[in-house]
Amino acid sequence: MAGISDYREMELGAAARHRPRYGGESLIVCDNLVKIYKIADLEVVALQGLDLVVDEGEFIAIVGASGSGKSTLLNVLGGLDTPSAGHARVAGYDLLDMNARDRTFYRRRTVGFVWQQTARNLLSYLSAVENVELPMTLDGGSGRYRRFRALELLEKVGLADRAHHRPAQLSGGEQQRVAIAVAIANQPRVVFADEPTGELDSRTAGEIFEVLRDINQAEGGTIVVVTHDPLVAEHVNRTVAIRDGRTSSEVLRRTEVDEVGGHRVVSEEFAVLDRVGRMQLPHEYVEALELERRVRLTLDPDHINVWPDRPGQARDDE
Amino acid sequence: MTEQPRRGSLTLGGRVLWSQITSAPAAALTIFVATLLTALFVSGVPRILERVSEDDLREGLAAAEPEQRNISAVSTQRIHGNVQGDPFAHVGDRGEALLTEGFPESLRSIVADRQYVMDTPQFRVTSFPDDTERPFPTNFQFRHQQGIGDHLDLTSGSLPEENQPIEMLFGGECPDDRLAVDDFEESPEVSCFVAFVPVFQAAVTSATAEEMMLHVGDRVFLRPDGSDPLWFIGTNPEDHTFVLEISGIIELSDLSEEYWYADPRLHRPRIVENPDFRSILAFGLMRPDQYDRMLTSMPTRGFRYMWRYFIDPERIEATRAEELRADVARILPPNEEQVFTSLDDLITEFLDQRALTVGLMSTAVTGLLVTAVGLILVLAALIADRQAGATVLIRDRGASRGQLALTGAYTGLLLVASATLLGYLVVTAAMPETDALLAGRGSAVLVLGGTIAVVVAGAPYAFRRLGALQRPDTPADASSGRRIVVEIFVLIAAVASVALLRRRGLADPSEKAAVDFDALLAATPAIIGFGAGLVVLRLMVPLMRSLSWIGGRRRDAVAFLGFRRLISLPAAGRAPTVVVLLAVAVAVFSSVVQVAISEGQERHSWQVAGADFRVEGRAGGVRLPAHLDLAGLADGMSWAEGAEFPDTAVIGLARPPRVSVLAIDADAYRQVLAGSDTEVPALTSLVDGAARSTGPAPVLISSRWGEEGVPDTGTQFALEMGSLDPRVVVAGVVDSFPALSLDEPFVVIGLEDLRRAWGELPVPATVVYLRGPEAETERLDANVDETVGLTLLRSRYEVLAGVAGDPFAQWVDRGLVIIFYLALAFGIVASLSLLTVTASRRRRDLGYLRTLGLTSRQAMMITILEQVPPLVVATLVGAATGGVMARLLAPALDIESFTGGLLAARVVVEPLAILGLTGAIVVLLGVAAISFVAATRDEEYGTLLEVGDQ
Repeated sequence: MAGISDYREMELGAAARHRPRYGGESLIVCDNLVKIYKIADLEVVALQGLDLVVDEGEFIAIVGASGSGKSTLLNVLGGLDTPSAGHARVAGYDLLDMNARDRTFYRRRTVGFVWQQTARNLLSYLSAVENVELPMTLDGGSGRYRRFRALELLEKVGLADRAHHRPAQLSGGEQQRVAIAVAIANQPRVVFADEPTGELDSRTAGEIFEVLRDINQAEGGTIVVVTHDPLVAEHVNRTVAIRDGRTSSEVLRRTEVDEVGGHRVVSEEFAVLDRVGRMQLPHEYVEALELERRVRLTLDPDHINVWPDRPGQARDDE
Repeated sequence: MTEQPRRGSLTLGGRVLWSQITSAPAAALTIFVATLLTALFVSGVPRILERVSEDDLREGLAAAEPEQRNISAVSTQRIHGNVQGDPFAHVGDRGEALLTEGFPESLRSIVADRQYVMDTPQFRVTSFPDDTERPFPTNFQFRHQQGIGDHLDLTSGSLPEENQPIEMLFGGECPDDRLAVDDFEESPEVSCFVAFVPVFQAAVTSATAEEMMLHVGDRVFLRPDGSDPLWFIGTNPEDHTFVLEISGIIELSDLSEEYWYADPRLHRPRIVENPDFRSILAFGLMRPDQYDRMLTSMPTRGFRYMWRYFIDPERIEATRAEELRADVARILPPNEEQVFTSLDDLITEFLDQRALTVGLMSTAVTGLLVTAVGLILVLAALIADRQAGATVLIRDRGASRGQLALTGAYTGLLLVASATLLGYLVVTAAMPETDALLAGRGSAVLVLGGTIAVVVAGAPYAFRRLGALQRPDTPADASSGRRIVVEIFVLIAAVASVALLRRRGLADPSEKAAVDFDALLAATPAIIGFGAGLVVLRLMVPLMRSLSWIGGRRRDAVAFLGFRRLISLPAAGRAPTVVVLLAVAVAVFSSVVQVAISEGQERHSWQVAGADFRVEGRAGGVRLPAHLDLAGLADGMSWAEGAEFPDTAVIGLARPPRVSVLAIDADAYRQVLAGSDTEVPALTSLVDGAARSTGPAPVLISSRWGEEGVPDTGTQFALEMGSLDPRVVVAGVVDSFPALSLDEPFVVIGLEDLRRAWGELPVPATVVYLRGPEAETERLDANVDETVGLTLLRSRYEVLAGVAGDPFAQWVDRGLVIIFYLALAFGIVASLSLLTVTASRRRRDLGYLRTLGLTSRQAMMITILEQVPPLVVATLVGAATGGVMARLLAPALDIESFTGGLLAARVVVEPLAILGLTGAIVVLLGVAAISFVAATRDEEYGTLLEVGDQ
């Protein structure tokens, strides 16, 4: 059985073999990523050339309407599904070029998951602490270390006193907190959370995001949350919106110091430009100007103008 | 208003029904097929039993001796009369009156033919043609048998006629003036006289003529034999001397003809013979009208009349056997004739055998039925599991628990009732003439049980709290009070049924015949199997928990997770374990009983024949012909010679019994028995003993000895053999010895030892045992034929064919084999359902674990670990339960009645066979588990975990 150092070497080796061309040394790089599902004779293109770059230590949210492809993206990045085309790289692993063994180690040590349905995050027949120990057991950790680390993590998520309870004896929020402890048990480089608050009330959802944020800040772990709830943006640094299988816009959130020395959160939305210069216009812009089929572009020294394709309009404005 | 919910239920049931069945088509189809197979069996068994019963009764009667199966009435009367030339018209009328007035209707209806036979009193032959005195008595009787003219051929002389008296000289030398007999009595000084003596002509068979050394035309004197009670007391035989003239020699038709009633007296004389004594009783035929003449002229109380009523076995219906048996006892002869028949005994024997067959088969069939219902429960649970989401949704939308239960009942009826009906109709079409009552009852039980099983399988989804249903991963509550109560009830029922059975069924062997269909006996194996299953489930939890804990301590994720998953299985996931246990118990029970019967038949054949072939003198203890070349007879086969000494006295013991002695070439006989089921290990002591040249000869003795008990090993005594009384020492006590009767004590001595004891006197062989294939029968038959009736050939293969060919035994054998395979098939399906019933849960759990880094190999091992331990435990415990049940119930089932009845049946559970069975099931399930993991490995985990909304 391979030891921890072996895994590290393999991870580094994989990283060396698959040196990125796009996205530099970012932790997550998706380049023109395509995922096609085939259901019976019907092909569904879930990701249509998606580009995404996530740096180490980021806490981002991926939002989008139902069917936009956000969960597909998470599955691909988590090594659960294989992409159909393009490039996807996480922590140096090329997700298109991994064998089963690499994929297992990747899931065991590089990524962690928190799922939407609380009941599916944990094994019902194990206690909370046993559930947290499980990834470490699979990784060959010693019993004493596992138990120590599991209790430590449960304490971190505020459930030290519930360590020996079964999932059925915990509330939904508590189950999700245990799930977060499970996800970070093996100190992964990135944690993927798929609608982690989807089944929770808003107060509990807020608590969960606080826990995720604490982990992000205290442990420096990268966290990618997939959700269709736009309000999640309040809890993360960056929100990436996906539409029709591609990233459409990003909202950056930063804290500024105002004139009187107070802190205020500033959010700014950006459209995403892909590597070949394509971008998606926000829906509300398109509807407001009744843009259809074609638009007219004009280049100014510091920006680009977009004009509806109505005869004479651009020229008049000019 | 009250009608509306019912219509709603029906509508809902109709809508949901189809979706329930189609949600798990394989499971639904399996339920249908399993039910159909069971229905075919359950419907078929009573009908086949009925047909077999007819065959068995008819074959049994046909094989019985005529005097056993037929009815005869005997009386001593004087019946005179000659009606229109028929001298026996009144005799025939008496027979007819006896039938019509004395026989119940049921018996009259099975009488196919009748005849009368008439015997005169016995006569003593006082002189023979050559005037030589025979040293031993020769008696003669005349017989008339109705219709005998059609059954004889005249080979020489003529048929008897009426003869006039002849004048004969009595006494010594006579003067020329012969005296009439009246004067003779008044003239004592004269020593001779002349008288007219009646003459009766008779025809005899050549065998009779040969034994009596008579020829056609010979005359012998006969006079009444005073020892025959038919003569009046005080009769002076000499006053009734007459002449028998042999008119001709006849040959009679084959004695095996029903006509002869297996009575050989006309065919050949009866000879009683021993070294000191010989007597002959011969029969002859007179002309029919001469019997009346004799009756008139002789001082007899009458003739012996026998009226024989021939039963036609084909007219007897097995279903009316009991009535018939009762009617035999109700025969009331109008003239106090004595009635002789064993028909009632034969019917009793048949009824006992049928009752035992029903008892045995109902036990096995009930086990199969319960297993089938268990399998239906498991498969229905699978369907219910597939429909769980929809069921929860329907309940969420307002469906009542009653409506859902009713839907389950519809599903059960649709699947189970249709399959049962199909099976019932197929069997009915195949065997329309048989009674359908038991088949109908069995089918009804199957429908009821199957439908209840389907309802019970869906009950958790219909009756559990909705909130609990919406959290399907809630572990099963094994400590629920209701469940504990049910389990305790089953265990109490199991213990009670065994206790009751032991008290009632096994305590009194004389009640064996009353077994028949016995609900308690039939249900006991199933109840015990079910109880054992529940105990296993309970005991398995702490065991698996311990193994899981050990696995966790050893960083073994597979053991840790596999055993923990096993403990957490819901009730539906545990049910297959109980069904597998039941199925294996039923299969092993059937197999053990079937093997015990087969092996018992084999041992019986060895016990009866003593070897594959036994050639012996025409009577026990009579030496084999000197010209018979034993080595040539064996022709390369293993063989051993022996000498039998029946009825030998034992000297030197208190109140010793008379014993049969067999001197056998022990070493050679050991080789003859080698590899058979009748090996006698104690023979070694005779072989070893033969090496000694002095001291008493070692012997084996029967455990059924005299009143003083069996002598201990080392006890010495002598055997009385003429002037040679060899001294022997008991080397071993055996319960049985091949070919030696179990009813009388025996002594087996080494042939070499006996020859040594006898010294110069030869010990001629009276029997030879041969080991060889059945194909040798023809050659041996030819050899034996060459000895012209001096030897007999006994074939073990014939004995085996006879006992195994009994219709009941055959049917039980085949029935048990079918039950074995059906139960095994049900067990395998249940084993596989163990894998599938929790498949969706396992897929999801393994998918989740794979996201944590579980390898596919680990997933496979967890899957195997989750399936195999309960299966191995279920198989082993099931096998043990089946074996124990077979041993426990064997006395009640009276297996010996199917094996010939000589030796006690050996009910043996073969550990290797059990291990083989377990191994086969485990391998099968292992392959299924690997296939399952291989199938899920190719699935993408996003799909597996149903992540997101893509």
